[in-house]
Amino acid sequence: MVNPIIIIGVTLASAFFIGILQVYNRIWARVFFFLTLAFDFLVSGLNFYGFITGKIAKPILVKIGGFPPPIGINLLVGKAEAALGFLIFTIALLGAIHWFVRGLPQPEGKALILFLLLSLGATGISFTGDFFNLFVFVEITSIAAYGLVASSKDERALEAAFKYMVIGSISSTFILLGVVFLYKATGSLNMLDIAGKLAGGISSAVLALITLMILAGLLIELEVFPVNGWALDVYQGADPVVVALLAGAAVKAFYLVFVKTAHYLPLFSFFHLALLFGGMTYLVSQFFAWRQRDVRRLLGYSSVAQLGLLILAAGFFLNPSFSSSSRLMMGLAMVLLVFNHSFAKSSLFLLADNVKEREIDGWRGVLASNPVFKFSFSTSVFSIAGVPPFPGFWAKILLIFAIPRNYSWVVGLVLLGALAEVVYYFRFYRIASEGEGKKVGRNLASPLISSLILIASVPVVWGMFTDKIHIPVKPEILLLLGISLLVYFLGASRLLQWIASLGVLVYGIYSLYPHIKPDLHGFFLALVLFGGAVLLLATYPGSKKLSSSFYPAYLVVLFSMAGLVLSTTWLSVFVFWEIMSWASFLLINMGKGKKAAWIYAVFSAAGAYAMLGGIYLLPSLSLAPGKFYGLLPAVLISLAFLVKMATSPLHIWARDAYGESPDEFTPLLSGIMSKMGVFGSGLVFLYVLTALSGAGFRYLLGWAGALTAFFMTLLAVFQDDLKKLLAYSSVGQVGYILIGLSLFTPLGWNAALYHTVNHFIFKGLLFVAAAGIIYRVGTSYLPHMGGLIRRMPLTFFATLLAIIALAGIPPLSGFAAKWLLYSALIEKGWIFITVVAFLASTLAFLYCFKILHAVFLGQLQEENENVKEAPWPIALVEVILLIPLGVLGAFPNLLLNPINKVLSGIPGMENPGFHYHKALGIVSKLGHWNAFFLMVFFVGSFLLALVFFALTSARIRKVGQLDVGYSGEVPRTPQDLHFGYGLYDHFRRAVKWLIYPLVSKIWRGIYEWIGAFAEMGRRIYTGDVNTYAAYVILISIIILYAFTGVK
Amino acid sequence: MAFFVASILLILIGLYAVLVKRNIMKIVIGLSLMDTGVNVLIISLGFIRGRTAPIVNIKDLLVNTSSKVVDPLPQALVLTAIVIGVAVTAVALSIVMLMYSKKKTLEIEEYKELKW
Repeated sequence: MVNPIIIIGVTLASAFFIGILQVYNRIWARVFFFLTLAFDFLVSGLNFYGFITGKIAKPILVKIGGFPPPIGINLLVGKAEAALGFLIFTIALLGAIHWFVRGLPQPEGKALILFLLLSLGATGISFTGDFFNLFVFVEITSIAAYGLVASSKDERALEAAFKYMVIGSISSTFILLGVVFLYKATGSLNMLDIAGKLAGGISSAVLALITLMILAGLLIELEVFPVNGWALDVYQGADPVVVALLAGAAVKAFYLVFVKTAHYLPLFSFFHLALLFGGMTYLVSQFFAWRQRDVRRLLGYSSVAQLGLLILAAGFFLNPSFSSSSRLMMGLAMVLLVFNHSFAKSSLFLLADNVKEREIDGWRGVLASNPVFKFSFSTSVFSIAGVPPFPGFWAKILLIFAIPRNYSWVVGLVLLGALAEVVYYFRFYRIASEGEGKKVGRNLASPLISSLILIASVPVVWGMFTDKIHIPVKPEILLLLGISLLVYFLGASRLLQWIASLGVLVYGIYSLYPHIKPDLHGFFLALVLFGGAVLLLATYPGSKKLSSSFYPAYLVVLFSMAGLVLSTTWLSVFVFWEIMSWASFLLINMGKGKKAAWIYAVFSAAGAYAMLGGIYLLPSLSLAPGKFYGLLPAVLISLAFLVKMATSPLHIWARDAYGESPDEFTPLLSGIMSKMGVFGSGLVFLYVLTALSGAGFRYLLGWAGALTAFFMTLLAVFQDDLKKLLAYSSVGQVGYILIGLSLFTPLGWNAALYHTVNHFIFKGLLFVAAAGIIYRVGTSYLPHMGGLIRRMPLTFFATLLAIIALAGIPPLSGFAAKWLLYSALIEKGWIFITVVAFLASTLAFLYCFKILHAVFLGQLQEENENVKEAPWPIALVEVILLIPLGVLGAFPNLLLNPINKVLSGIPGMENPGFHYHKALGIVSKLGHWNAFFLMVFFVGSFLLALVFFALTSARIRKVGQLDVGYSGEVPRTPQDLHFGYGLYDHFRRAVKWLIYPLVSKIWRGIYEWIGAFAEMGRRIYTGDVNTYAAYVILISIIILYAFTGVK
Repeated sequence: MAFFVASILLILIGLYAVLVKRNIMKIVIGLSLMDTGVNVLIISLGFIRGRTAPIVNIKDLLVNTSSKVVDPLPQALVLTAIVIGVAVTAVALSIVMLMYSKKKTLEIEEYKELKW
């Protein structure tokens, strides 16, 4: 234990000393400055270490001047104070490092002194055990901060400093008045002494008013809405290092003392005060940042919002009427939030210092050139936006589950704000990751901070899965996720990464194999593991541009899906869902469609937060059939899954996310990841709804599935980009699966699960084939292809069979799915849905033909003369996937039997609704069909025709491609003959009204309107110091008037 | 009571200047007035009519001190507050000086670049 007064004393003394020293020798002054901070860092770290290891058992009490409290001034350093002191000096040290790397502000010596004073003042605020002393430290901090803010090179900083000073002075006047009145009322200034006197709660209105005065002063310092205009101006105008220290450290000291004051002066109405100001600040600021163009101000809004969330959390934390376990959880959330925000935000502010442009559009291309910058930026942004595995993510979960059930609207508010945060942070991320390289300044501190965040995530993750919260997880999954990340370090060689990934996956299959049991979880686990293994094979050789984090992210997606399907509680479903979503966002963002990735992120986050809200509403987190708890949780939880399945009207992310993601990843996205939505919807039907209660909802989803199938198919028909066509097709097919699930009959689920596997096979096949084609041809634009049948015969054959399966034509595996689905639909009596689904199936033929025609048939273009067959791994995977396509076509029972075994464990689904007859094949109530017979018949006819042509081939004359003059016209180029472009134009004109992009226009409109409203709302920050002061008076009156409640 | 009213009045006058005046110099003066008002208010809180200053080396104050002097703590606090007030005013004035030297105006209208 080191006496905390040493920190304050040494820092103060050396601040004075530096003032003298720098007159004589600047270098030594710098060295001395740095050494002081390093010393403080070490000492405060030592104390903090003592507290967490338990070596220091009780709070350190420092008597000053020999007078024992309550007479004398004292410092009181407990665990929280020690932690905060350590935080302050960590950030101060990192800020100083950044100053040295970048260059110190002028005048140098004064900046150094003020910097020391600012960190010292903030430490004092958190350490002090005396109210008047608090005021003194508040003033030290403020004066140092005014000076530091003014010392920025930016001319506008002076203006910011002035506003800060005016509002800060009013705020400290409040604090001072409150403290003095408090002395008058209680006869003491010692915090603990007063707390002892007021232990039973504040009972007089005068005391309540006094408490509110102090709290109001602190709330102004905590930048609550609408008295935070000064803070935003400071964030925008001041030196980022100073801002980092202010937002990352000093404000946190104010927060601590705010919580302590509210704790020592137990005001009855504090809960509502915190709820009002915290909630309002949080929500409003998240939306105000929505279309903010200045990067620093954007970060400012985000800081303010985070503080609002912290204030909100403090309200719950200090409310004695809530259970101690939930209050403890809230406390933990607060600690994580403070840590997360302090580090990530200071890192971001320091990074903002590296980019000359203030405008967000000037950030285009900053991530492309500098991997270190990219690492720090991504880590910080993800951490703030609450992306797993960073602490912000866990903090959000803790915070939400710590909110008692009768305040569930607060959960809605928190999640709404979190969604807005994702929208603007990922827009920022998208802009930064777009475009070519751009030079950025040097930065040492931010990478350090980001590494710290990353390192800190490990124990946090560990804590979440083990002791504190205990999110149940198979330990193998965590191990596999960890190993997956290590693949990154083989980054130099994609081949090495590929081999290592295959190795990891083989190990994954080996270690997870025992969990493949005949139930829903095991079924999907098998799909994930074996399907993933096949698709991983096809990722080599990959395009040259493949990012070095491709394979780690790919594996993380795979194993998070494994974790997802092995979940035993909803919470673990959510956690793995989020890991999967964010890892897949990274993968999509590696493609050329940055905007597509952003939209994907927003929709994913919206779904995930809706799911979290739904899970919160469930009384029991376990995945087991329960009672029916209203429709709302079911709807909310389903939203996440519907987004992933891209069910209309939540589909608009899918086309570009599929179409513009790296070709190596799309097969996984379509083949397996979309099935996680199927799995999740199954869970909702089984465990949140009951067979009876969900009927209406399921019917609705049935329609959603049918309309998805119909409209996506229609859009696919007119799509001229190979991958986007396949994307629409894939989404439409998943619509069928949703119909099957919604039927909730044994036959329907048979169809759904069968189609799940079937869809994986043919869609995997198609996307892998597409990857091969695009790799060879260099484009995914259909009119630029054609005639590739002779160049890529294997790929043609694979695509042909996949399309036959997709269209549901016998004898391949697709027919069984269709047959089962329609049987189930007719059996259930959903006639109109049947009609729509039929219509969609018929339409599908159009795009099926389009793929075949535009890519393989038609005319070979000159530039594709030298195209070769797809690379061998892709060809290999095509062959591998063709096998089940044919085998299941002949023997659908190979898959139907395991599915029935899975379903037999589900109550109400024991009887599959069909049986197997030796001669008739599969027999349902509506009819029968013998797959094997069909296969023999088709193959036989095919062979017959083949033989016929072989025998008559002597009479065939081979002609050149252009040797086909007709109507007196002689084609000169292949383009003249190829009608890949504008295929179905007439049909398009006929159904123009049906393909009007209504849904995307509505979503776009929502985005724009919210942005416009936010922009209007932001105008309350007029920039005028009189107005800012008026807001202060306004909210002071509100606070003093409305919250003087006494028990 | 007179001190009380006067100090509140001072604070309100200061507040009025901060809220209404468009000249940054006047705003700083307003802040200073508020500060002074608060200090007077604190002193008046510790003031007890008929008692003397808490300086204990006067002979007849050595016995029964607490019943003869006013509350010494507010005065001690005010000493600190005055010092702090001086510092804040100094910083404020230097910021105003710098602002003036850059733009040659003291009108708050000209200092609204940071907003929204």
